[in-house]
Amino acid sequence: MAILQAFHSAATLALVIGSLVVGIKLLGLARRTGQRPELLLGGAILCTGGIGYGFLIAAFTAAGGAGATVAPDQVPYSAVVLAAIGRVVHNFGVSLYLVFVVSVFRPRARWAWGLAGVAGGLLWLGFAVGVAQGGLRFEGVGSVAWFSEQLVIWLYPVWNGFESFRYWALMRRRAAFGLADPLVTNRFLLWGTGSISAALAIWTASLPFAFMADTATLAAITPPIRVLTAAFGLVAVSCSFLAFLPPTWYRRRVLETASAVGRAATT
Amino acid sequence: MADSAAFLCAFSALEKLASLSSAEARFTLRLALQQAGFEAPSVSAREMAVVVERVLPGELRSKKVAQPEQVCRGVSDALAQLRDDAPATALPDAVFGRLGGA
Repeated sequence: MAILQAFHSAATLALVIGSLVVGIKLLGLARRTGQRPELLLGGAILCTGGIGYGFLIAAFTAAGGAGATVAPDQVPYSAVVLAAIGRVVHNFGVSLYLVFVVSVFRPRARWAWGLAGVAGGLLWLGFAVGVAQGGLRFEGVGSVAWFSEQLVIWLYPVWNGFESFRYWALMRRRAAFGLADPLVTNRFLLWGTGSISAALAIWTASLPFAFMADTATLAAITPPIRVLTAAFGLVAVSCSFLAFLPPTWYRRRVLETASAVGRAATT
Repeated sequence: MADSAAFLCAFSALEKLASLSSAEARFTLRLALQQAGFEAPSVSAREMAVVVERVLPGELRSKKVAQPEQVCRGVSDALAQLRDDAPATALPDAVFGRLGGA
């Protein structure tokens, strides 16, 4: 059990630190290029995985941590403030993800801007109503406001993943004609995989909400769920690193693989 | 979504040179683009030229168009007259190219 706990803690720390590093790198890039996509993605990664989760973990710890059963009116003020900052920053990051995916992959599609607008509305409305109902002191699981906010959080990485995989398929076909950079093609695959892994981490982390009334089942499923969440989170942050901060050995490996595939296709 | 200048140029030349109906020419070009992983609204003149050279002849042969190579040469010539669009910095591949940069 101690090993599982250590793995979960290390993976969570890696996710937060990794998101901070990748987010800051992309914001630095945005400063140099003056382009909006890097600003949006850098801000999104920094606000969700970096600052948002950082504050939410601090709020969780301030409220007593895992297994704590504190009555809503007994939750320390510090935990409430940390949760408020964490959720505002996190949801701001989710909003940036929505703008990123539309402005990069569907900039001229009205339906996509409309969908992003509806998603943003559900996210913030759900958050605001949830907070008004005391949602910073307890999880309002099952309420309309909770579902409204969670639905967007559950699905936004899926949209990113879908668009990225779709573009990866296009880039692979272009590569056969020598019209695609192997590193950029691979970057779409990494971002798609990272996004779907982030979605899986969010879904598994949400599973315990379905067993809030059944404490025995909740206690039994929590350890494996934490391991799964941590594993998916690690895959997500690793993909971000390899996509946006690719080390020399990884670049070389991608280029060598692409070159070998090209040679095999011509012989 | 509006098609790119390169697509419209190739479409117009193909329609004229291959004696295809407007719908047939558009459909044939879209099929060729799809095979090469491009989309009509974003394909550049350089990319379109590669598709015309390497994919379109096969498509025209399958439609029993006479002298497909000659038709493709004509389409390529039309594309060569077209000044390529300014670098499309907002296209997903351009964005993802920058995102991994130092």
